[in-house]
Amino acid sequence: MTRIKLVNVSNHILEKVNLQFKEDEFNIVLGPSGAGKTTLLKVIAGITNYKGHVYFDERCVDNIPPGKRNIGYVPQNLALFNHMTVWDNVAFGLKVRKENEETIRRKVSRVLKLMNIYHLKNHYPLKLSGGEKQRAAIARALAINPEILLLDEPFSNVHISLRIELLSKITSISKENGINVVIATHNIDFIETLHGKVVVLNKGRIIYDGPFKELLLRREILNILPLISLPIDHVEPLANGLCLVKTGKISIVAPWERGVDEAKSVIIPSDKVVISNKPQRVQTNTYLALIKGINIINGWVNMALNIEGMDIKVSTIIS
Amino acid sequence: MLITKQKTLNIYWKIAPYIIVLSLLGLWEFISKLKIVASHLFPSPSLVTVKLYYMIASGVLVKEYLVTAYRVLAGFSLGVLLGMILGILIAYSRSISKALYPIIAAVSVVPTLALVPLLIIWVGLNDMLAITAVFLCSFIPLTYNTVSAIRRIDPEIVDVAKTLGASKVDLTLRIFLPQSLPSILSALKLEAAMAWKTCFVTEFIALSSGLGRLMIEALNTLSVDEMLALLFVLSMSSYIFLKIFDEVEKYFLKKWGFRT
Repeated sequence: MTRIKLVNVSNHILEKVNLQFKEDEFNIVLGPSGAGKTTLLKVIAGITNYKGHVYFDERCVDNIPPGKRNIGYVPQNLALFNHMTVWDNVAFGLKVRKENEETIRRKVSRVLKLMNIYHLKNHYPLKLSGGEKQRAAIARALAINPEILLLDEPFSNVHISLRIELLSKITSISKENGINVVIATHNIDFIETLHGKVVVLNKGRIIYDGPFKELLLRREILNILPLISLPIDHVEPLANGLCLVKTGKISIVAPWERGVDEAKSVIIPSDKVVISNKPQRVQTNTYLALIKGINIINGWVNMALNIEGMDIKVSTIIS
Repeated sequence: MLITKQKTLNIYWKIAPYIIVLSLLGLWEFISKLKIVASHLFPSPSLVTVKLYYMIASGVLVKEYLVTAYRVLAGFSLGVLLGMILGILIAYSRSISKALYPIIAAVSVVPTLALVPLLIIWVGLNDMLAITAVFLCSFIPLTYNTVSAIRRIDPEIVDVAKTLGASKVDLTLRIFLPQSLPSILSALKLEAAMAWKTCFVTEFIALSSGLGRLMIEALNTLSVDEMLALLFVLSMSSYIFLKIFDEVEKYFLKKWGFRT
């Protein structure tokens, strides 16, 4: 597995970034919108200018063009080639690398089957669902047997069941093939399952570099992420594996897990908050809120809410 | 019941254009037969059709048509090819863009026909005059449209292609050209009709062969039926040209899922 090292990397967004993504780990880059997560991935891929140095293992790759870095890159908008079928999208990297027909056929078939989209091989991207597009984009990145896989907000628009499936797939593929995976995201609700390293970026700077569990104790860092972090007053067990978490005048129903009664705060990814002006069918975890302020920046809606006397900030992507 | 009504409506919309055209022709035929104006000045569609038949049968129309078609095809193909190549170069290179793009943008607002007097002096009264005029009328819009189309391509698509190992040639042939094809085809549709018009008028003004020359002869002999027959041939040729590109555009847009 390839180790990635960035030394004093700066550009129009990033400021003196020093970090190392070790092998055998899932690497997560967290941060609010505009923090520089995408730019960091692009620096690793070599598709944006930067000062400083990038090393893959001990090899400096500053002068190596993107196509020779052996990287699979999946941008947030997936950037599928709409004029090509799924098969041709996935085969693109192999064709431009002048692989022979037989190798192309074998490798493309393998990744399409791996991502469960072999039956869609003759479809064009615009005719695919969101999840199918996601699979096709990941398959295209994997087809070239990359040493490093860079995923930018890979699960922002997919259903939770698909997210779980894709994550477990990527995990097993990366282990089997020795691929170092770096995921840039604003979402933390899936990170816990990955046991990886987390880097938090804010305004182009690294403000945290360490394991996820320790991050949860750093309230000042959690505050800049699109999360709602509330101090827990009391936890009551309920039936059916649930518990009632009391924070101020708000009571939140959550799954009961070992150690939950000792937890200090409840963290809710703020894009999981549904704001509605209509009565909700489900009454659990539904509260009446006063919207005190609202602004929209770069496709994000930021709202200041007051629920039962508690001020809460919510940021969510416009979908 | 509702489906039957919808089906009837669909059939109606399909045949409506033909009914309108036939009605207009009928009205024209009727007014001509009233002899309000002398028939040689305002001939009926049937007279124009007979004239067209004689022009084809005598071989004159076919001979001159082939001359015009050759000029249109030569000038247009050259204009499209070089326009696309220059468009790609401008989109690629900042220095070429800085040097040539303002010139292209300035020249694009000058009507090609306004350049014909200059071309008469520089190129002379020969085939090349019409070919050059057609070339200019397609070359500049194609350059302009190719540049805009390539600049509109999502930069992430280019980034992904680069990480996959695409060279500049791969990017051009496999990404830029196909991705900008819908915009280029829209420009081709407009310029295809323009190419026929430009060639016709250039022949009309300066040359001694082609459909334009037949028009000037018809004018000299006050053969309005011949003039109308020629206009019909010209408009049909433009229409067929336009229709071909329209079908190609539809084919790709449908194939790629932009249209159902």
